[in-house]
Amino acid sequence: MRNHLAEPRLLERAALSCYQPPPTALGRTLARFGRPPPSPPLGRGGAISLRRNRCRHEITGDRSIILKTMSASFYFVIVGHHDNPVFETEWLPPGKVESKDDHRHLNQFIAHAALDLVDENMWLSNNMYLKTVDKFNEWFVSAFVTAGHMRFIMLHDVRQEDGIKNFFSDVYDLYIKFAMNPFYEPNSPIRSNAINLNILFPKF
Amino acid sequence: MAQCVQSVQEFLQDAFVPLVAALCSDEAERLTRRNGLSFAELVKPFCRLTSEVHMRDPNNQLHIIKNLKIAVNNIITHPPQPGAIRKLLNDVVSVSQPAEGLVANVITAGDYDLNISDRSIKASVPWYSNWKETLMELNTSTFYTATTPWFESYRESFLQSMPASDHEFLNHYVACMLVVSSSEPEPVEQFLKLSQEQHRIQHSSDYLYPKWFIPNTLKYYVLLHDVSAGEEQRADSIYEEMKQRYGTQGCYLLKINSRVSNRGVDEQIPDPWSQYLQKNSIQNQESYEDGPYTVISNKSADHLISDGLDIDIRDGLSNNFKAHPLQLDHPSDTSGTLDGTDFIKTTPSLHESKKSSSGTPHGACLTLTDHDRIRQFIQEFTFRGLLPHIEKTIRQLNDQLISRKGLSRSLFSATKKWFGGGKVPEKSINELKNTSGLLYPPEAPELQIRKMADLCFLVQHYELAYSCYHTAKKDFLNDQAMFYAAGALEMAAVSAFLQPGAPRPYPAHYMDTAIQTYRDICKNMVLAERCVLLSAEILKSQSKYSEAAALLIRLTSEQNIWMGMDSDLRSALLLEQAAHCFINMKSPMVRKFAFHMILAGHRFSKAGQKKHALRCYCQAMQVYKGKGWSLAEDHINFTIGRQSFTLRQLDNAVSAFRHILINDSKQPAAQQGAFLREYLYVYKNVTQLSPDGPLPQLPLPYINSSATRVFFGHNRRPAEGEKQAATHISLDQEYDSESSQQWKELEEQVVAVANKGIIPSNFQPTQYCLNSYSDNSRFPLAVVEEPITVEVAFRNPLKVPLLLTDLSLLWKFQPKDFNVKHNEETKELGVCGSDVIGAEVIAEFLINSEETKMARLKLFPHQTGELHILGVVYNLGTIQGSTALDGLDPSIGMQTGKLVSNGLSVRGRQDLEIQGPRLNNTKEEKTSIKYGPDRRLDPIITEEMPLLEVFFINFPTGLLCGEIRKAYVEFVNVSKCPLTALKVVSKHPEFFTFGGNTAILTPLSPSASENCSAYKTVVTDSTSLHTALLSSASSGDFGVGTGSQPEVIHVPLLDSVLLPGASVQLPMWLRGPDEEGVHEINFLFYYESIRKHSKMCHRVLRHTAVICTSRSLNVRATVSRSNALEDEEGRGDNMLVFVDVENINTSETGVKEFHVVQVSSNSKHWKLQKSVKVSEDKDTKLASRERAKLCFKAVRCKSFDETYTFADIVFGNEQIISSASPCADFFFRSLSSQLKRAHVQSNTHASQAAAKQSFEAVRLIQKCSEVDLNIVVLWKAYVVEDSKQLILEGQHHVALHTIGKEAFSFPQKLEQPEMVLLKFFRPENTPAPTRPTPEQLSNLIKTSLRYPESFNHSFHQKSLCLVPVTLLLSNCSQADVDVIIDLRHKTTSPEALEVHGSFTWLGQTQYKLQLKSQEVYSLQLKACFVHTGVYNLGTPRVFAKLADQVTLFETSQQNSMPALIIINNI
Repeated sequence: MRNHLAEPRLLERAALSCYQPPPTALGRTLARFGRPPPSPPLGRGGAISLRRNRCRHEITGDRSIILKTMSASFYFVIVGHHDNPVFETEWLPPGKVESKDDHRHLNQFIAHAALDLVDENMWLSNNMYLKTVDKFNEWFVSAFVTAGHMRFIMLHDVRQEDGIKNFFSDVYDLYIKFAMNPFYEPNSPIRSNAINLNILFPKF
Repeated sequence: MAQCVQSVQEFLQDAFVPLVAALCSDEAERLTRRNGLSFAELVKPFCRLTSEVHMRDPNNQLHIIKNLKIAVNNIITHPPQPGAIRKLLNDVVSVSQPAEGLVANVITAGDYDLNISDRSIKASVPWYSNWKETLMELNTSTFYTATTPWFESYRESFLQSMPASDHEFLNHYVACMLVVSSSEPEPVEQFLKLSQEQHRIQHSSDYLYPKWFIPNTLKYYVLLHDVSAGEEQRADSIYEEMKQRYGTQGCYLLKINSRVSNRGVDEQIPDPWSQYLQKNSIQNQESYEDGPYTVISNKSADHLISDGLDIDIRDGLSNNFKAHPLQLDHPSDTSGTLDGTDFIKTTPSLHESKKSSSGTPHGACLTLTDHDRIRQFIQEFTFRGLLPHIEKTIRQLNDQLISRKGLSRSLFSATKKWFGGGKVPEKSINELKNTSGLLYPPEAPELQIRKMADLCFLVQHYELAYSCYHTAKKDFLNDQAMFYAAGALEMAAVSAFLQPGAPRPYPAHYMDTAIQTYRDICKNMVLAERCVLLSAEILKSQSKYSEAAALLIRLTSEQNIWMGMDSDLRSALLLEQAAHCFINMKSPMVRKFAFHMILAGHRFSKAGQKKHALRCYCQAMQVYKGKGWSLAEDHINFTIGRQSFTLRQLDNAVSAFRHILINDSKQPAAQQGAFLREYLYVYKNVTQLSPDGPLPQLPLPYINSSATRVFFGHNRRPAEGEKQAATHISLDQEYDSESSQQWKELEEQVVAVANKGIIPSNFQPTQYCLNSYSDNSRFPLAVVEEPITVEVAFRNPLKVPLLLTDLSLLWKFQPKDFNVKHNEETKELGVCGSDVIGAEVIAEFLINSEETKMARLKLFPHQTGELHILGVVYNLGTIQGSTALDGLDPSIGMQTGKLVSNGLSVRGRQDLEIQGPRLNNTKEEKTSIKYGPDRRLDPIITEEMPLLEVFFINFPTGLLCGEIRKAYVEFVNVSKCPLTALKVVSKHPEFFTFGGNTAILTPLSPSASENCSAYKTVVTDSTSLHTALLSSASSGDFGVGTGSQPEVIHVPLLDSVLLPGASVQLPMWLRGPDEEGVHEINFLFYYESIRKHSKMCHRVLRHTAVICTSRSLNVRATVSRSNALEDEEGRGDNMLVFVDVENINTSETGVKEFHVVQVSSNSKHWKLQKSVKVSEDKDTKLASRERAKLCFKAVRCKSFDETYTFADIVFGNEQIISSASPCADFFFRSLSSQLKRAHVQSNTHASQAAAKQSFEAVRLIQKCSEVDLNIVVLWKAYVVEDSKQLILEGQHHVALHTIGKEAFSFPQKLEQPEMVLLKFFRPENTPAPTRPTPEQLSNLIKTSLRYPESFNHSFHQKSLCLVPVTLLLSNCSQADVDVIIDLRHKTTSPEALEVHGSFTWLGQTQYKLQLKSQEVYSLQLKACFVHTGVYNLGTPRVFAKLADQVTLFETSQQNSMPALIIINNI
């Protein structure tokens, strides 16, 4: 079992060496790591400031879609090799926070149930991004499987393929950097603030 | 989907069977009732045909019917109520539960072990590493199946309870049995009556229900004959009559009840009804569904049985069969919902009657022959009556259709074409909605074909049925009669599937369309559900599990309520089946399974099926457990807890709630509060059930057991006024490994002294406070009647505060008398208020959210013995309005002592189990993981010991460096034992003294000593100024130098015993340490009991004094050899002592000036003789930053062993007797500490140079430049403090060791090089000084020349001037020295050249002498001058060597000073 566990880590490392993020993206992410920008509150202001940072991408066209965050809610989880949640976060539109509170466990249930389909779909696709794999009531489940077999699951109630794809690749970027930390044991819960996905969320 | 007992084919066949109505006369009913069964029930077990039947289809082809089953039902003239059906289904499901206690075998595969009631499921995640293996395993393994009997019962009941619909004929009655008893007076009449009755029911417009297949229903006449009661001939004759009347194929004589009711023989008869018992009851309920009517009939039946027969009543009853239902049903129909409630009310009574009847076995009057007769009867009925009837009907229908087909169809389509104008466009289902209401008349040709299809289906002629269904489907679709079309589609799909050899694939899309139509257009959920059940079963049989699951789930997502029947139960069951589908997939979808089980459980709980809900949640829990999906897990646990609680499975409930609380919860505070309250409530119920049981283990708050600290002894008494108690040790102090090591060393020292230099082998340092750092491998010792405090670290992991009330320790005690050898063993468990051990109870202890808090709990042992502290016991509760508490300051609540508990609290315990340290000494321990014992909580209570309390009075907090202050110490023995052998040990013995033997003169009470000098003084007259006053003392008088442990000081107690309750005040002098700064000085007081114990030999008391010192004086001194050889006594040895006193006080403390009042010397060999007056000042005053230089002459004095000579040179008019306390004490203390320091240094030197042979010589030579003079500078400081002038006194010590070397009053700081280069080679051995330095050698012999300073000589008279010169040689060393004096002039130095002219020594130019130690030798020389001038006479070169040494060290003794002589010419 130990050997199997070592494997994904190596894969992750290998992935890092071949994964070449676009230079601008790298630069931006490095900037985020080195000198954290004054993290904007999750309102419009934050979204605007980030949009300003991103104008170069919009020229290249890959980030031209900016999703409406005000109406949609998201739940994101990184699932480890033993079906254990490694990192969880949720992002709700401001008005919805209270009403959703008692249904938070439902997010987990849906995400967990979707793992079966993720595991099935990942062998059918060459891409890491698996698009929408499952649906439950109003929730869509999108997934992304890393080379090291970490599964990123995103629950969203609005279809936003490109935004989620970009989000996944950004998170992957962050995750690899985090996993390279020799003090981080793979599969253990990430408690660090280094992956502050709230910064990424307004991207949608 | 769960595997069923039946195969798919069986299931589908059984879902649709030919229905036969049974109409019984009351008498016939009574006959069957004797067996506890109705007629329908009676025949039920025999309704399946065991033999094959042949039938001819319309094309005259032979068709074989296998395993045909028919259903015989009592006629019910009222369609089942939805509410009743719901209730029925609910009951069916809740009655059917998984068998408990089955040993479940768990199979591990992949990441999950699943254990699903009676089977274990192999489940695996297709995870890449073991993907392949899993697949292999799955292929090779035989699948076990999980049965879900509740689902099957539900399905069967559901299908049976399905109301007959107009659009299909499958559950329309095909035939009707008319049953009459032979015992009736006019059976034939009765048959006629029943026949009319049947006709009325079928054809009268009053009855819409039940539905009949075809207008002329087959009537089958059955004569029941009770063998035990009736006459057989009569029955036979009636039967003959019947045969004549209805033909042999239309009637039957059934003989039953051939056994005389006899209980004793019952057991041998098999009870075929028992397996139908469940279903029987369903059937009964179904038959009783029109509640009030059946109740009455039942009652009347009872009447009949009890009262015997009364024809009038019976007639009325048989009438009631027709008349009463209507009368009674009508109001219930109109009242609508009321009927449901009525029904619910009445059914329990029915149930009970059922139960009571089911207690008696069924068929009590039937023998095996009777069973065979019934079987024969059914067979006969089917073969002779039913099937020919069906065959005939099919033929008729077929003929009708063939004749009508071409005509009507073409005509119809033609007219359509004609008027519709072309082809009817395909319409979407939504558009067709409005056409769903289309109703065909009962005799419509489209329905005829459907009727035929249904009949074919019922007799298993599936090919024909399919083609008919297919045709009918087309017709219906053409007519856009969607409701009918859906039915046709459904059955077409089923019959296509059932066709033997399966010529075409199962048309799943037919089913899908049917379901959609039923659900969306017709809003008929019951039919949709039937479709789903059928389709799912078919798909499942084809291993299309995902499709089946999708189908099942699709139906459940329907949230609407259909006709007042909420869909929870159905959804729950279907979801569960879907979950089973997921797990049965080729690659099992375990997580989908779990999720759908959760959903199913949720629905079950909504439907009130608690057991099923609990089971679903438990099964799902297996997947979620321990993965970290905490919110999901919490939800599951919470539901499990709730359901378990309502099912009174309290233990499960408790453990489930416990899980929620002890896991790191991510729930918000309000939710946690709710969880906690629920948990407490459940727990309370558990404890109320078994109030005498052992206290439950509570999960909250967490206890960090390793942080538990145990403290033995009383709390420290606070300082009282000037009295300051010894700090000792308390739980408030943080553990500091450095200081604890220091204390340990101190204790070792004092114990060694107490035991005459040896530390006993069983010595263990006293530990008053045990924590995770202390050595807990031994049982700690506690003293009886002294409290034991245990500090428990509680942590509240929740976001709501926890309130512990009545918190106390739980203990076990074993009394033992340690003086008596044999021990009586009695054990007691901790109870408050016990007279053996008193326990302190904390009434309220609040732990705020996510807080770590310590609770200190006390025990008071009243007996000696072994105590074991087991844990804590408390009431766990929470406080009211936990959410509102954020604003509330808990400390306020604590102060008022009124924390509002919401009344919910449970009493429980938590054990304190402390894991010892990991052992890592032996190899075995290193390779395995072993832990040592931790006996922190197992103290041994020993006998009484004295207990000392120490108070310090007037103890200063700030001192000048070197300042002497007098304070008092009070020793109090607070115990009931006298104490003795009081000692104190400190790392800084030079800091304090209790005074020597001479100290008795000083005032003993602190009040008397105010404004009094700390020193002992004597007024001197001014004449003795600047000359030394001598006294002497030995170090032994001052308690110093008694062995190698100068740190240990005996406290001079009177009689060296302190009696119980007694207190003694002793003076204590303190001297400010020489270095400025804050000093922490540790005192360890050691004492013993007068009586010796086996367990505890001594006790200690700690005190840490904190002293802040500020700079005062800096004293430097040098000693140099005096050149003057002769003194007053003519002795050759005298020295000059220069003392430099500098005021380095930075005058912030208000020190105005320092006065040096006295300088004393003490030495074994030297003494100060007099002051060499430099200035005219009377005493030396030093303002800030001033420096004074004092010069003294010192001479050698006679020395006795170990006796120091004290010489005081007084500058004022008061002599401080330096040989008395405290001056001498501090002097000796500082001396010994210096000696120790020197000892350490010389040790290091010795290790290097001990081997050198020449070392001794060097030492000797070195020695002669050594002195052992100690200078004590006594001073007074004038301090202004609070506009009051204070005079402070103090003393500084300078120890002079080497001539010419400067000595300081404070230890010079060695400047540590900041960084040292690391050397990777072995440092070279620095050679020991094999050669004494010239400097040292020059000190060996002291020379001086004596000559006239100027010499007048008339060179005119005599050209040669002879001057006598005396060379004095003085041996400074202790050894004999060989001296060579060479007078031969050698100008070696350039300055000698400059000296004008030269002179010569006359006479012997070289002398060899030997000087004994300390010998002074004078040598007479003559110098000869030829010119006038100034000459330097210091040319003689003196070589010296130690007498017994080789010439190795011979070195010139240069006279450093020029000896100038002036030669004048007269």
